[in-house]
Amino acid sequence: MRLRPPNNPVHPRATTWWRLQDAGFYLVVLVVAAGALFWVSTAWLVGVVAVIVVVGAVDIVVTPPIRYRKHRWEVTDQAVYVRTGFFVEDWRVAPLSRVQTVDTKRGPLQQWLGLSTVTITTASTAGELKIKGLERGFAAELVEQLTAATEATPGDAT
Amino acid sequence: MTGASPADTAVQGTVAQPEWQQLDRRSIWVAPVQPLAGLLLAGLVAITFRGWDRFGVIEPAIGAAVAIGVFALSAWHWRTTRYRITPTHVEMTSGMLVRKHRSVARDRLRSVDLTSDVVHRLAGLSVVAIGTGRQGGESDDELKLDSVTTEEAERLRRLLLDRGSRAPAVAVADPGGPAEPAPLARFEASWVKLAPLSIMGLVALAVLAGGAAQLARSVGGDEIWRSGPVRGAWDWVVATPILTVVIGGLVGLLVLNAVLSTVLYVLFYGGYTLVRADDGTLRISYGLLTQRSVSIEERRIRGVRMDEPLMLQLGRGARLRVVAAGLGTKDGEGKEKKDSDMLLPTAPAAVAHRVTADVLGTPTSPVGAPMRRHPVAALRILLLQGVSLALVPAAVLLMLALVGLVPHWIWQVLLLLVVPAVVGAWLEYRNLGHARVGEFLVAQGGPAGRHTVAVRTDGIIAWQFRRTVFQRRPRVLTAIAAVAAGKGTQTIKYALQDDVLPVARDCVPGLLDPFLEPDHP
Repeated sequence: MRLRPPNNPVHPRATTWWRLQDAGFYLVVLVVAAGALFWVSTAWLVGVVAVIVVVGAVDIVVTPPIRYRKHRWEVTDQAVYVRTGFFVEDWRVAPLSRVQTVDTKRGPLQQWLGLSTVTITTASTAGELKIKGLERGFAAELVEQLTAATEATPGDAT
Repeated sequence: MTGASPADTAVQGTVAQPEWQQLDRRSIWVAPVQPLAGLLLAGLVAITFRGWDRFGVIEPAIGAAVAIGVFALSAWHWRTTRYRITPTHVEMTSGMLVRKHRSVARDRLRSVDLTSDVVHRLAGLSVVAIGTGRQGGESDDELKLDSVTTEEAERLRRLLLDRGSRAPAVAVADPGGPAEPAPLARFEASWVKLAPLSIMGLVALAVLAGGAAQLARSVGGDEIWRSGPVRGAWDWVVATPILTVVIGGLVGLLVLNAVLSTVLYVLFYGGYTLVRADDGTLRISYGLLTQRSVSIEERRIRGVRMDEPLMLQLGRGARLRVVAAGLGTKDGEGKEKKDSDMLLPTAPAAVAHRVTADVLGTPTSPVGAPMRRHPVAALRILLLQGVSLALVPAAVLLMLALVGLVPHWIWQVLLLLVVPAVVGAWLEYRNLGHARVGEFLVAQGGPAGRHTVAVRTDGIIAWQFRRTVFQRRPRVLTAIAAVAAGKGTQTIKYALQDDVLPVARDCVPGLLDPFLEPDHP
């Protein structure tokens, strides 16, 4: 027996988003390393910079598509089901009757790309589900649908 | 003082809101006693080591000013704090400069915790902490009344935890009357035999040592260092062979721990009783010096957690905690609360199992059921993690040695860390297990000491599953059940996928079925 992958992928533009995020990270690291290189130019520091460039380039090219393939989600009339991660795979299932809040969040990059992250929380500090990189309008619809579904169940969801 | 009689609150809406009440006036004097006692102690120690003659006028003046200030603040706190219990809410306003008004719906109250230390008891006062259902965040929500008379505290407890037919129940309930039901468990002298196996004494010693070190710094370390007893001890250490010192020190610590633990155990938990009250609450009372009495609404209890620390396993002893919604582990100011969820102090495992079965209403104790053990692959994972972590210091020092900064023997000695890592991995592997017992999911684990948690399956509000790429082939899966109680999650670590997925599926009917598939469709 095993967990099947959820049905839906996120928006393909999420790949671009993650790519830009990674690029930003490596850029910062590179600027710091290059700054150090400017003051103390030793051979091994040049090596470090070269390694950062190579690792960064490979990471930016290779990982976002893998992340896109692994990050999938599904909402049935009973539950929300999300999976993420490659090195550490992570599946989360929460029944709609136990959902407490549904939020969307957009960072500056996501705003520019027209993407949203939907966060679904339950009464436990641990049971939080995140669907990252949905198309903005679609995310808004999903939130509405989920909110309606959770309002349909009475009680304080503990 | 007593503004609202219970009869007022029973008739909803028709009566005006009950009047605001104040804390007991004596709390002005009682509340600051403990912090001031610490100050006094510091002063005394300073005097002993420095002698009277070296004190000027300034130090005592500062001390007196602080004392007056503390009492003034306490008086101000008493003046500005008001509380009332309306038919629907508990309200409290307090504040010195910033006024704080807090209001909590009464049907959100989960527990009432009465504490009174020696000073409060002499004055006939109790501190009332009212726990609400909020989970997580920096601090769990709590209203704290420091302090009211013990009778008022009892009245509040009965009033606040009484559900439904409010007025008659209050009228019937006879305070401390002979109708007290028989306790589910009661402190027994034979439990004290297990106390030396706990490390309560060592913990207390560490706290004392920390305090002493701080004191020594503020008093002037040199003078303590030069004093007689310290010199004597140092001379003995220098004069005796190292092995004797180490063994002597260890034996001394063990003996000290055994004695201290026993004394503390009796002082803390003496007089322990666990009572199922007729208003649907469990009441846990204990303590010889500081008396504590915690009432937990039974409806909110999701399960029980049994802890068996390594040493305690030698004596077949265990401790119990209750897993309940709204039993915060932190107080209103975000400080750790101690023992707020304690169900049973260190006691024989047989007693722990009996109490568990009684509290959960099961024929046998779920935490004592036979567990499904986890595959050998789990041991491999634990070994890999432990050993690679243990090798890090050796690797770092090996590199430093290769550069020539440190001698080579250091990393060779550090390789010995692998031994405790292997033992640790084996101990943890031995603890791993899970089971489904009736309506309870039981998860067992723990790095060295074992803890076993049984939670009601209808309390599970979400499932999470995790595995790393390396765990894919050995089919190992970590399952985490989210529960709106206790610390929020129960983890079944490194179980066999084919064992744990059906168990998880059966816990919450219909939830996981659509997302599971056979391996070869």
